[in-house]
Amino acid sequence: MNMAPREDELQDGRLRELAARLGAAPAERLDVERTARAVLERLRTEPEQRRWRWVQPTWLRIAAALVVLLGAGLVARQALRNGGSSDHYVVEELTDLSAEELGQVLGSLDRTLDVSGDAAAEDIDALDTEQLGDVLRSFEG
Amino acid sequence: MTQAAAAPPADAALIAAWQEGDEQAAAELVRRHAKALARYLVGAGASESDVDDLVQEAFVRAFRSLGRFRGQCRFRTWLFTIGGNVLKDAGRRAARHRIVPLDEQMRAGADGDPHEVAVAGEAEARLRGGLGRLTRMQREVFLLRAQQGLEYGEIAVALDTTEGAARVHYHHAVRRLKEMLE
Repeated sequence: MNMAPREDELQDGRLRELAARLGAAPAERLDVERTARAVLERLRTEPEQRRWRWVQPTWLRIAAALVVLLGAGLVARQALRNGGSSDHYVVEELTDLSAEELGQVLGSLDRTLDVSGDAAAEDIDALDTEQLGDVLRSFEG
Repeated sequence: MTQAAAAPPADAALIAAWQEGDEQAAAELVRRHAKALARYLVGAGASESDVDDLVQEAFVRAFRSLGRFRGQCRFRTWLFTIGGNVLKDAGRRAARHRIVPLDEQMRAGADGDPHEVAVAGEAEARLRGGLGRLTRMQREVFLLRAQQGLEYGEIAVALDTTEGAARVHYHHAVRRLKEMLE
């Protein structure tokens, strides 16, 4: 070991002195016999537990990834089945229709729902654009 | 240093004995290095209440991974690096950095003149605070050099860096600590 103090060692003598004392008291209070016994006990009893603790997060990550994938798949499947949010698009399209066009749509709904009849057709003809829109929206629920 | 330099053969014999199943050899290694490890861990930021658990954990990890210890440095130095990792893991779990309160430091060194004890305790607390603001590499190099008295070559091997880099880290650590302590 080189015993000659270097320049940096001369400059930081105070720091080294402090650092040398750092933790001395807690270290002195450490019961090394108890620590040795505890270490040996853990070495005898914990090997399998340690491996499990290491493996467990890996399985948890895999399980979490599977859940996310399944969830995303279900959502995508549901969206494809519904063909998107059709209700939203229907409302937007209806607002662009004129009174005459709305009347035609209602007429076709009457046929579809089997609510045909002259009285119904006359009532529809009497409605203005706003009222026709309200009627159509009420059909959408 | 002369005594520490003579230690490796004895440690090596104890390691070999432990690997052949001699539990008392492991216990002797704990007796021999536990206090030094505790001092290192406290310097690196461990709270006094956690030191016992951290020392235990470091020894358990060390004994379980002795197959990877090739004698590239002293067992104690290698143990310190494991202790550093244990402390880092514990810090992650706790998600906070704890400093031993000043009054605890002062109680710890309760021998001697109360004024001197108070001044020394304050200085140590400030040093600990400063160490906590260094990078991990700077802190470990500083402690291994200033607290444990290791040569740069051994520090470099233990921390998987070069001797020149270890000197630079030490220089930066000292400069920053002085700035923080002034």
